[in-house]
Amino acid sequence: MDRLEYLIESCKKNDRSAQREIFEMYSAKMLGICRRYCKTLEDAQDMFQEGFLKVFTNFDTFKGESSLETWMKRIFINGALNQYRKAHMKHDHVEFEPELHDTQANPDDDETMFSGISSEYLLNSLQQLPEQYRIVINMHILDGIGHKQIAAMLNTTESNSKSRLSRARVMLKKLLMKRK
Amino acid sequence: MNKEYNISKLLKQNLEGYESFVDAGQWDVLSARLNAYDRKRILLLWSNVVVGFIILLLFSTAFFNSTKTEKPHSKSMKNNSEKTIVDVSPEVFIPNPEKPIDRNPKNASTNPDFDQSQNEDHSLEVPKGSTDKDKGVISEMVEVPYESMNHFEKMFMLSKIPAFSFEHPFTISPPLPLPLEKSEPLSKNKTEPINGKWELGIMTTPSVANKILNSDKTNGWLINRDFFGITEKSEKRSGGFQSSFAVQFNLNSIWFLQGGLTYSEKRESVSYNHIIKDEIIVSQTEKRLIYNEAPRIQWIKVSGSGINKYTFIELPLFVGFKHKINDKLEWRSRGGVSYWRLIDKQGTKIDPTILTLNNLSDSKDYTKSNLGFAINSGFYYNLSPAMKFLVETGASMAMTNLTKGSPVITKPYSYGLNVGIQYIIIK
Repeated sequence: MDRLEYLIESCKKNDRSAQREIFEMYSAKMLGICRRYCKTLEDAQDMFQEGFLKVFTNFDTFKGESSLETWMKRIFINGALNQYRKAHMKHDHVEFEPELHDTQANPDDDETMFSGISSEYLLNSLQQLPEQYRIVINMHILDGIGHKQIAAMLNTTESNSKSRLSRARVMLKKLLMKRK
Repeated sequence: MNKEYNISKLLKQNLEGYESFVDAGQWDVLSARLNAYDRKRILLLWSNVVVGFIILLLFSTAFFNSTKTEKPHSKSMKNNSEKTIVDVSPEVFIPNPEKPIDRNPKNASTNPDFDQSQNEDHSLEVPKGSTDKDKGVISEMVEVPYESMNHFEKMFMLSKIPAFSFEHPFTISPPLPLPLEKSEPLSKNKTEPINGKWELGIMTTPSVANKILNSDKTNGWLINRDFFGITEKSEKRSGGFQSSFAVQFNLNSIWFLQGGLTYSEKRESVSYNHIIKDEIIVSQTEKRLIYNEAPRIQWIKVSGSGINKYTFIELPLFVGFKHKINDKLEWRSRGGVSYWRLIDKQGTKIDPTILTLNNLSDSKDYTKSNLGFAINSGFYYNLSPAMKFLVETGASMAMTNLTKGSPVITKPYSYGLNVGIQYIIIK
């Protein structure tokens, strides 16, 4: 039994020191996910706490069918989706509709335009996107979830998911261009 | 290569597997939340056990009561007794002082005063299986003070003829002529008689007391990363007691309402021994605490020990039920909400942000009015007809947050063994 397996078994027995080790192993990655999905650091920290609480209180449901990281990631993404659904139920409107005409005429310039953008800046730009666009861009591009699955998870259509992604890309590009 | 591909590529390059710096205090907050979750789970488990037990008792009480009222004996008894009330005519029963009535059915044929049909009509058959208590209800009904008797009744008493004679094993002779209004409760005696409408009681409860600490959703970020760890280590023992004066109103032979006044104390023994090594900057804009390691010379030692005491006056409002086990013993369960008034607090408490020790009595971070709930269940033993001795288990917990304006949520709870005396004051 390797160290990770031992930690997993200990976590299932509610061993606090094993939980701490797992926390230290994955906390940075999970907070990264939370920050991608949330608008502010405070929201991300809330989601991070809730996510880990769910992870440790439901550890006995982890069957080892996927890696621990994938399982945890799914819990955190589900947490973000739940938060979105709750907010969406309360405020059933689009935060703002962007103008969709692309200001950049020549796509070949993109390569040079986007060079030198830091992760923090990109994250900051991503966080400025309306929630429904941010979620789709995160799920599809960064977490590799297909449009069919996204549509099912967000209770929308596949074409709507694709259209949101397209809009999100244009908006993000516009935001990045403001840097110049 | 199109523009969409570039955005995707850019995002993947920069944010796929993106890691963010995690504040060391995050684990402490999570650890405290996990501890609180564990405690809640245990409490929930026990409350489920108690609720299950109460439901079981309710069902068993309902079951036993239904089987008791369905007995055919009881029905015939009721019919007979009602008949006795209606059919009794004072003239029939006026005894002849000169000639005592022979009530023995064996002598019916020889005794001209003894009318067999009259005996059949008015006699009350005591069914097999009926208790002395059933008879007692009847005898209680015919008890009339000597002063209020009329001339013939007094004569009857003087002739030493008993009001009831039990010569025949299953027959009670007709009762004395009495004003009908005195017999009124008889038709209501379908269930067991209520001992008293109102009961007063005093009880005291030594208990195990503690509190659930959690972070407040809005101000939780103000909690120092070391706070929960220090608190966990500093609280050595905790306990408490409560003394209650209870007033109980019996709605019927099973259900009752209870109110009263409770004085309760919750205590914790604390011992702080901590060194503050960080210089803390509160960033209101970012809503986080920034920790800078202070030079050794600026380290501050926080130490102290003592007992923290929280005193409450509680006003409970309970609903409960009782199940009679035998003549002496009954089981009672009660539960409901309780208003808690914090009247005093003494000791020291640690500031959740800067970790210094403050005087509890000076602290304004406490809500005076709180709401809690409590459940109790146990045995009541009849010491005398008017006095009961009780032993029961009880648990109570605050529903509202005791601390206000603090980033820490505090909800005290306690569980223990009630011991007390209860008096029946109004019959």
